[in-house]
Amino acid sequence: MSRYKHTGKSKKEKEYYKRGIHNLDYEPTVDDSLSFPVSDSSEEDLSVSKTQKTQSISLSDKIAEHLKNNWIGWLVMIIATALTFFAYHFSGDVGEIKGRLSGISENINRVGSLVKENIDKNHKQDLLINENRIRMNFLEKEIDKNQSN
Amino acid sequence: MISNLNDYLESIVIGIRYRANFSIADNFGNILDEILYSKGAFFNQDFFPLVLHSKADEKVLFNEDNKNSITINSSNVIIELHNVNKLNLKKIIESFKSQIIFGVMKKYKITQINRIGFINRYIFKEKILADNFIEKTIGETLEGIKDINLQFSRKYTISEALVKKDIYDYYNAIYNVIKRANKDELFISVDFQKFYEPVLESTSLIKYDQFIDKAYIYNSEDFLSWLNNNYRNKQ
Repeated sequence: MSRYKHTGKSKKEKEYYKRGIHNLDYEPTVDDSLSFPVSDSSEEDLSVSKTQKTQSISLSDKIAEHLKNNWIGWLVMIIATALTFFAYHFSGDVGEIKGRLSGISENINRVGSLVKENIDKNHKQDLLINENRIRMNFLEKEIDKNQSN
Repeated sequence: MISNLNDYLESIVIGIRYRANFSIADNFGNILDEILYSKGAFFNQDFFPLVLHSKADEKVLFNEDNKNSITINSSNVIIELHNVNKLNLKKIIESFKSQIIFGVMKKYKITQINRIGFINRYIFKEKILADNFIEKTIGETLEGIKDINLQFSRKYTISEALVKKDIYDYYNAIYNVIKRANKDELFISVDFQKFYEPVLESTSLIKYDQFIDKAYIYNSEDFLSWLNNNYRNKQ
């Protein structure tokens, strides 16, 4: 490019120039802007604090900060507590179930022996019925014999 | 209504920007001698009694009494003048051209100029301006605002660049408006720049007087009109 050519700009080149300059960044001749302590500044901070006191922190912030720093310990502790709680209650429940099962087992045994007693009684009754039937048959035959005589 | 900006002018800056020229650092001694001790030098050791070695590649001619300075480094020559109402500004601006731009810069072959800038810094000690600025910039919804700094720029085409195929020069005006919490005044700097695309091969190609005049006209017309319309009149 040369400044000394006298060739004119085309219509497109004029448009490009007009639009193009507005898209360019700018840089001041010297920087007059205020230097706010912006967050993306990477300059060293060599200032000395004007107050000796540290900033007070609210209890909720302290707790949040503590939990943030010790969350692994707290998590392990919560899991261990939960496991202990469940283990304690589970063992209690198992004992209770065992007791109940034992009671049920005793009841079943008792029912079993009652059933056996009943079976025995039934058997004796069956024998008595058979004996009575035989006696009746004998008596019927005796009666028939007497009638025929 | 503000009519004469010179009443509010606090300081000015003129800066020339060129592509990095590392031989300047090798010639600092000669350049400073030339500025301070050459015969008939305007910017002599009375004008700048101190030389500050602020950085390895930068020298600053400085006057502790009025804080005026000339900074020279590998990419810039910048003159900064304060309390301008006490100075013969016209003479200084003229001397900067003759002694520095067309003198030292030309002699030490500082070429490839890509920008010239002229900053006028004003302090308006008028409460209405400061109040209107806050009201129109922040509004009334945010309370407890301390310092406000508004900066924006606007670019302007140059007729020569519209006509000539290979020239893409343009003007750029950067406004910097500052309201300090503890002061009922408004600081405004208008940085009027001319960018050279392609770069100028020599300082002698800088149309310095034309540029300075253009900057003055811009300030007295565009800037002043913007200021009065936006901040001077209570709406």
